[in-house]
Amino acid sequence: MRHRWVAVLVVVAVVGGLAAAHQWWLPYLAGWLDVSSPLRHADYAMVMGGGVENRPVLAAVLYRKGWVDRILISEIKPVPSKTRPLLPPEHELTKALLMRLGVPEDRIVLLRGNHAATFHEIVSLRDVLVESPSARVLIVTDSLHTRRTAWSVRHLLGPMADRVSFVGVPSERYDLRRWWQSGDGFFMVTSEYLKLFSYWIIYGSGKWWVPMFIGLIVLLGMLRRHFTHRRTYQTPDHTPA
Amino acid sequence: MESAHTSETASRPITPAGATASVPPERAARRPRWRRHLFVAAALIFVFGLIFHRQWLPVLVYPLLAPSVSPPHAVDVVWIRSSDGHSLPTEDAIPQAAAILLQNPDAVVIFTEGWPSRLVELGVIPPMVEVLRSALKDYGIPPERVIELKPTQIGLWYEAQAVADYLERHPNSHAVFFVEEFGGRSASLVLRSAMGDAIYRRITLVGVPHPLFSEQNWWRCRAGIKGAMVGYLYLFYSVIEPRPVVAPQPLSLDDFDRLIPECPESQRKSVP
Repeated sequence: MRHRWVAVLVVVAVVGGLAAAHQWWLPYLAGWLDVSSPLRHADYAMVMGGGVENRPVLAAVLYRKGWVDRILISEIKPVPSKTRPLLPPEHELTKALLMRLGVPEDRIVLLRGNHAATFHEIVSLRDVLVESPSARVLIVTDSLHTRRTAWSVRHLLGPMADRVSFVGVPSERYDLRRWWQSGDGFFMVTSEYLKLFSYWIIYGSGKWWVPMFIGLIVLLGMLRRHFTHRRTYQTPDHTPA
Repeated sequence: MESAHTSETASRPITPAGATASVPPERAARRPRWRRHLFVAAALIFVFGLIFHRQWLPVLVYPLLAPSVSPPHAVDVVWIRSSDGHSLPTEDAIPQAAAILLQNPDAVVIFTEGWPSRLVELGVIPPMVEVLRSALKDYGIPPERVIELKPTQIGLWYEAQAVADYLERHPNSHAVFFVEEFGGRSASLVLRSAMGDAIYRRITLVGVPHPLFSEQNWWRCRAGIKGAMVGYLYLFYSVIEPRPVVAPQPLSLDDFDRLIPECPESQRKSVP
């Protein structure tokens, strides 16, 4: 009973300490997701889908300042609508924005396909890297999205992943140092962790590790029960006469 | 006189101090059978849960849906918003909005925007209010029946305040707010916080299902599972903090320009 109280006090102390020091450690949660690498000259900048407001803008700056020669954009699977489409699909908006920002049309390469997720876009990038064996690519995406993208790149491209680096686009809707103080910041950081976990399960080794871990817990529980049961029957009260 | 409790304990064998109390043999023998029953019950629940998943999976997203209120008889304000300034997530509600406007000639649409779009700023797309006016024109609704309200700051909380100001100026009006289906509950929390109870009661939230999924089939597609996750994360945050603490700071094109230095390699070779 005393041990339980000590355990409860330790848990309360740890949780209280973490809550009191949240301003110190919470920024590291966001920082861990950002794996942007130092800039280096590349043949392509690849604009990841889902951030039409800011990702193409940074890609256009990279082009204008000579860091990349061409810009890759992916065809994004359109969301069906019951009414007539109000606006063009996202890849067309991205292309129009890039051109408005000074990127010539012949420098924009469209990756065809119904891309609906980061993983699908990296599959298309693999085809580009296979076709151009010496090409280097800068992936342009939100800072918080770089770790999941890098994970997909390493997972799908293998040795070709060395030819890919990442440029993190700063967030406008929240401050990464205080992300928990805004709904969008809270959503972005927590959802990235959930998505990373789901990627690990769906595409990575998680689909083996998680059942193994559950199996191990069940096995340990069964062993504990077995030995407790044996001890119960081996006490003097239950020893056969 | 000895109490019943004392006499009952007195009849039990006394365990010596320091020795572990043992389980009576009949109880120890019974326990595994109970556990077997528990295991069978869990397995049955799992199998039935799998068979009848269509019945219970919709229940998982009920907390995300807007509180159900019977729609008022006379709606004269329809509130439509664009959260990002370049899309209308509730565009499937446009026929419903048009039906209300056609039914009531005095009804108007109020439009708010949650974020100033760079696409609009650079002229890639027209302002969303114009897009909405053009869509409603297909139903014979004249553009002047769409009013754009400008909130003082960015975000739903401030948009709700702008709508509350409008409703205060029109004390007999009742509004319908078309909201994404899985964002209904979190939106209701923000609206109640921003508008106050009296004005909030004059708004009916109507959840508009996503084109790919609804509460009845959200588990069947990736977008649906993602939608439920997004809904819960926003709901969780809205419960804790419905009012924004930090105002977002949109970046200018110059800000982006300052982030990237000139490429030293490109100075050596000609840039195409």
